[in-house]
Amino acid sequence: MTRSQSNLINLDFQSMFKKKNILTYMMIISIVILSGCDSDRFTADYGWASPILVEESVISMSEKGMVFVADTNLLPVTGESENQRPAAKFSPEDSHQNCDSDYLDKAGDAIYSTPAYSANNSTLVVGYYSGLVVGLRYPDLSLKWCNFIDPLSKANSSGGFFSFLSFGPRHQPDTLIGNITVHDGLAIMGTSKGFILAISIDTGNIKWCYNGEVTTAICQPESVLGSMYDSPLVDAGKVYLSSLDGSIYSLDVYDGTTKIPNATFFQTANKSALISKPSALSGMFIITSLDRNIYVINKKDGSIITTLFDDTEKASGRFWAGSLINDNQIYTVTTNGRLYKFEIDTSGRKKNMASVQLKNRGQKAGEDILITSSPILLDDTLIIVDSISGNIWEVSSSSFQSSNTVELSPVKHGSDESWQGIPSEPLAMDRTMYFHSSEKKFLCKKDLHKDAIGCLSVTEK
Amino acid sequence: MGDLWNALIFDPMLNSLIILYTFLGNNFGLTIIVFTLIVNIIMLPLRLKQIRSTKKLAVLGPRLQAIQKKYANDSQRRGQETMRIYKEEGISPLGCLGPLVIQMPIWISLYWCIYALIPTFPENFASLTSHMYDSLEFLDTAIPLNSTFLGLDLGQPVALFALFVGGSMWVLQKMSMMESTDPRQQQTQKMMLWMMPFMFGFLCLQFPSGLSMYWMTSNLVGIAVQYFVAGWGGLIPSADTNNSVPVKPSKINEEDISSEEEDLDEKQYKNKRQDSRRRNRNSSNRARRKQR
Repeated sequence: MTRSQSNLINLDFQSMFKKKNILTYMMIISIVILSGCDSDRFTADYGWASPILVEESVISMSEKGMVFVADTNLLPVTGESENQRPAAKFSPEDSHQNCDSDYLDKAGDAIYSTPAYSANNSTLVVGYYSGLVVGLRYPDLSLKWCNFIDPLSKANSSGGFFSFLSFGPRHQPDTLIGNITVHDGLAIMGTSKGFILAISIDTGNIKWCYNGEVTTAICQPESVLGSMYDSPLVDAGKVYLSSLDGSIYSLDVYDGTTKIPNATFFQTANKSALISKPSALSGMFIITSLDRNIYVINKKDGSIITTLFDDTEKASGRFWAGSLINDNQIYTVTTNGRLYKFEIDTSGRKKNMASVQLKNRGQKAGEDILITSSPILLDDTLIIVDSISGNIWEVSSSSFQSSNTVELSPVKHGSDESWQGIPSEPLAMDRTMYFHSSEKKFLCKKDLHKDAIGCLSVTEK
Repeated sequence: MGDLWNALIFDPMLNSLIILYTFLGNNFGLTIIVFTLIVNIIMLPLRLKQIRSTKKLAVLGPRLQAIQKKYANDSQRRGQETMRIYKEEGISPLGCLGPLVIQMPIWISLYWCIYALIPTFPENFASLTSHMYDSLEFLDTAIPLNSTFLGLDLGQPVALFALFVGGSMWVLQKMSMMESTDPRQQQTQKMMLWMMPFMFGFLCLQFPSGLSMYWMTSNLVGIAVQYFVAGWGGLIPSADTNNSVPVKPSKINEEDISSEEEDLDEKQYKNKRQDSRRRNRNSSNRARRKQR
């Protein structure tokens, strides 16, 4: 191509270049917006921990990992939300002196794990998504101890902004999603990297940690177990934990030992994920699975007694929620809103089954519904909440008819506004339920069979 | 709008990825590579059209230059004439932008799919189940997806991938760059050559490496296609002439760029073209008669 030809082409391509440049800039802007809109994607701020009851008070978790003691008597019953000075509060920043708060900032302060309270030790054990576990004295919520579930978390806290430039695989710190259970001076939890550990509620030291082998004082960096998303179940001196690899693990609650290889007490045939914790029922465990089945397992040896669905009769959706057991009746709900009731005999065989489809107003069955929390029981009424729409369904446990549906309207307080949606299982107390709104800016309460919802702003300004 | 996006783009893509994952032995890295290849195969006609359009435009330059000069003061006429030539030669002026435009919703959707499939946070995992088709029961056992590929977590940014994406994009840009002697154009091209790879490389440090893998595979496919259709281009200029596939000759003759023709008005230009066509027809008719 001659020089003169090149010049001629350039003139013609000028307009083409302009168009291409504009498009490129549009693309850059859209990508920046795409990432910018979701700037919090590498830090978790909210979590889905449920409020818990401690003596007369409700312990509530707000966004950014704040822990509050709220006086239930002061919660408004109707109308707009109110701001209220909490009786006591704990902020992750309070752990500056004793814990590595730099790491906490980077990993996010969300609390997914519902805390547990030990009355004997007057200690509240709170686990953060970042893997930090703190023991707080009740009722003033002062810091008693702190520890990390992942020994490498602190090591990773250093490195600053350019730490991401490290080449090759980096150590991803362990996170805590599953709830904490307290038993006989121990706080027991399963982690998302597959560790099961027990922390002394008195000292905060790791008593034992299981990753395929038992260690004391510290957890090893890798585990052969699957990720754990729910509470440990303690039964007859043993701790049981369900896992996303389809296993239920079983360990001695006091020393973490087991005779079963890799502590695998039970495993689904297709290794489909088990999200929720098992429920105990006279010699059996009931566990729901993402493969749309419910397994009835022999407590002695982990063998399957029966499944509540089979090839001829399938559940309408996947089970994320666990099961609620009351008077030999099993209640559970699929993610797309079908509520099931089973009656089983003493040998675990299914006698009866009933189901009801929960719906949002003006929408088709299963549309825009995502139920991830187990049903709770207030008197004889089942309460089911939706993590997307914020609907609260009240269903009679005896007639199994939906009696009332209440929509959670967006709550406002000053500049704070909640999204709709109830992300976690409500706390049931007498005839009242307590729950967090989305983003955990509000703690709300609702009395049974009443439509009014009162909310309290728990955002620290 | 969100529901429409989910129903038409996001949900089908997400479920397709899970189906691919199931068939590819639960390997998400391989799933992304195969998915990218499928997307690129679907877009291959567009990509080929883009490369051929660029080549044709290069050959058309002299004729367009004549129009530029002739209608320097009449932008409307200049535009009309330019479009007429594009039409005559079967070139779409936006042809080279097609693949870019079409890929944008794919990128955006894939970005969200990777976030949903390799849950960075538990909420992503919870909402994943609401996007999976209930009718495809065999997908139930596929989740959660194993996000590890060659020892790397595809849900997290990996600096090495950022380098590969930046590097492969630079090579592709360099290959498809057009020769220029205009300093302004050179500056723009130089800026694009470095800015795009740098920007994408930087974004890869923020995004899950699964998305980087899509870009990387896509760039490698682009390099291969560009090489087979147009050679090494600006990457190895000397090799260009040896390797490039010859472009179909244009209807333009050398005479089109003669200074004499540049001075002709439109009527004369048309007449001259008609005469030339008539001469061509006559000579071919004579040749046929001789054959008989």
